Amino acid sequence: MRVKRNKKETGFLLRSFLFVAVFAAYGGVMMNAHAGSQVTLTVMNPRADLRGPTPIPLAPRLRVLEGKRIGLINNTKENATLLQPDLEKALRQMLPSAKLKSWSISYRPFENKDRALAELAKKSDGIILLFGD
Amino acid sequence: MAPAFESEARKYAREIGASNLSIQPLPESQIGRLSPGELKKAGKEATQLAIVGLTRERVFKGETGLPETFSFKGKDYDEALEEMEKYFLREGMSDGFPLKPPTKPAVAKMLEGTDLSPRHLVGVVGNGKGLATVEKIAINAVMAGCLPQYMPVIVAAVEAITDSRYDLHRVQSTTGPAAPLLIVSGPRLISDLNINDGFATLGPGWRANSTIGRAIRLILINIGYGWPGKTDMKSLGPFAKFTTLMAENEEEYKGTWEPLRVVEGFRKDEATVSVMTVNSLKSISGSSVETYVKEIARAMRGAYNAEARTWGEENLVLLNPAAFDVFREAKLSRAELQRKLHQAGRVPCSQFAQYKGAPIPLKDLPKIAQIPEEIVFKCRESMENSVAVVPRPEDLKIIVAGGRTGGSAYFLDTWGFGKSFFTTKEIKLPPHWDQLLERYKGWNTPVMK
Repeated sequence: MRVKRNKKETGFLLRSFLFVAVFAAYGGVMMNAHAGSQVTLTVMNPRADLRGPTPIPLAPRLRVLEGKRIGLINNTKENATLLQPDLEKALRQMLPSAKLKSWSISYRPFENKDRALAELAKKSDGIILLFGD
Repeated sequence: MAPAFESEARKYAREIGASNLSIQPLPESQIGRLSPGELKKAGKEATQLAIVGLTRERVFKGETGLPETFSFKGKDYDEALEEMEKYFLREGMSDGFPLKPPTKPAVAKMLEGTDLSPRHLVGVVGNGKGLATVEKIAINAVMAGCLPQYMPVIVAAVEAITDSRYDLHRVQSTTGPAAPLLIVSGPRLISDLNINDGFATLGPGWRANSTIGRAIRLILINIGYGWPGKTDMKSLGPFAKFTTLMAENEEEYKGTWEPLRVVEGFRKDEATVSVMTVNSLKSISGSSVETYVKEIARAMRGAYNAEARTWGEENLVLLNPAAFDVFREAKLSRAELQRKLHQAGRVPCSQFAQYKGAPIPLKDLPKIAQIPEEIVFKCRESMENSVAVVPRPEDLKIIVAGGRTGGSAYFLDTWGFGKSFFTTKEIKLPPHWDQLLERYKGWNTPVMK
C-alpha cells in the first residue's frame, strides 16, 4: 500500500533522518533503519604496521652434511651450556665425517659482535645456534 | 630454546627479514632438571632437529595488510561495544580493562592534542617493531581513556621508550619483572594536566596518571606487539605493567636542589618525561642522613644480582618531602648524597662475581656481565676489595615525590640484561595549548600534599 504524505510530514521526516544520520556518523555509530535498533560500531585499528625489513637471503640449505664444517654456537645461557656436550656427542655419532667446531658467543651485545659472528660464518658450511632460553 | 620462546624467535626473525630461518624448539624446557640419561636423549633430539634445519627449506606466507577499521554490531550501542571488547580481548589488543572505543571522531578529537601530522612516525616500538605513528598513538590513547591534552606527554614517552638507550626490545621480551616507569618533571605542565605529584603519586585516582601510563601499555601491546607468553616472556609479570606514571614534587626542593629535568640536561622552563625500567621497589624509612644512607645502601646491595647482571645501570631513589627535609636541613646537595650512597652501596668482589651461588672466573666477567677490565683487575688483587653496585654516583637518580607524612623513601632498581638506561625527552606543547586546556577542562581530582 502506498502511503501519501503531505509536504509538512515529508519535511519533518527528512529533517529527522538527516539529524539521525549526522548524529550517528559523528559518534562513529551507524543505526540500521531496516533492522530496527541494530547498531554498528566502527572503530579504528590500534595495531600498527610493522617496519618492513629488507629480506635477508639465507644460505642455501645443505644437500648432505657428510664432510661439511658444522659450527655450533652456544649463546652462553645455562640451558645451552648444559645441553651442548650431549648435542656434540650425538652430532659426532650421527655425522661422523662432519667437522664440528664449537664457540661460545654471549647473547648480550658486545663490541664487534656482528663481525665476530661473520667470521664464524666464514669458517662453517652450516651453523647450529643453541639458544638456552 | 623452550617452546614458549618459539613465537618470539619467529617474530624477531621476521623483523630482521629472515622469516624462513629454521627455528626448532626443544620439547623439554627444563634442561637444568634433566637426569644424565634424559639429557642424552634431549641431545639426540636437538641433533635431529638441527639436521632438519640445516638441510630443509622453510617457506612462510607473507604478511597480510592490516584493516583500517573494525565494525561491531549489536541491538544497541552497549551490545556493539561489548562485541568490540570481546574481539579486542580475543585478539590480544586489550589490557583487560574496559576500553573506550577508538571511533574516527574520538581519534580526531585526540589528535587535537598535537600539532604533529597523524602520519608522523614517532618511533619503532619493540619488540614487534611496529610503527608508532601519531595516529596509532592517538588510537591507543583513546582506548586508554586519555584526554587530548595528554598527547604531548604520550608522544614524548613513546620517543623515550623507543630511544635505543632504553632498549625496549629486551625490556619487552625478558622473563624478568621489568616494566617502564614514567616520571614527569615540570610544575606548570603537571598542574595543567592535574598529574598527581602528591600523596600516592604512583597510585590510582588521577585521570592523567592512570590513563597516560595505560596508553603506554596499550601502545606496547598493540604497536609493539608485546603479548604475554608470545613475545612478552615475563613468567610472572609485575604489577607495574598496568600503568605507572608519577610526577616530581618540585616545590618541596624549596630551591635547594635542581629538578630532575635540569639534572638530565634540559632547561628549567621545559617539561620532560623520563622513562626507567623498574624491576622492584624497596620501601625505606629513616630519621637521619646516616640511617637513610645505610638503609638505601642496604637496598642497593640487596638489589645487585650478579646472575641478572644488574651492574652498570641507573637506579632510582624517591624521597618523600619529610625524607628530603633531612637532607635539606643537613645542607646536603644531590651530588653529595649520590657520592655517599655510591661509597656505601658496595659489595665485596667475592659476592660481586657470583653466578648461581658459584664464583664466576674473573676472566669471564667482562664477557658475561660486561664488567670493565679495571674492576676485574681490582678483584684480581683481592676478592675482599669492594665494588660499587652502580658504576658512578650520578647513576643513582634521586628525586622528591609524594605527600608529606613521616620520612619515607623508595629504592627502585632496574633490570639487568639490557642494558636499559634512564631516558628523558622534552614534552613539546602545541601552540594552541591554552585553548586546548580550556576546551577539555573539568577532569580534575584534588591533589593532596
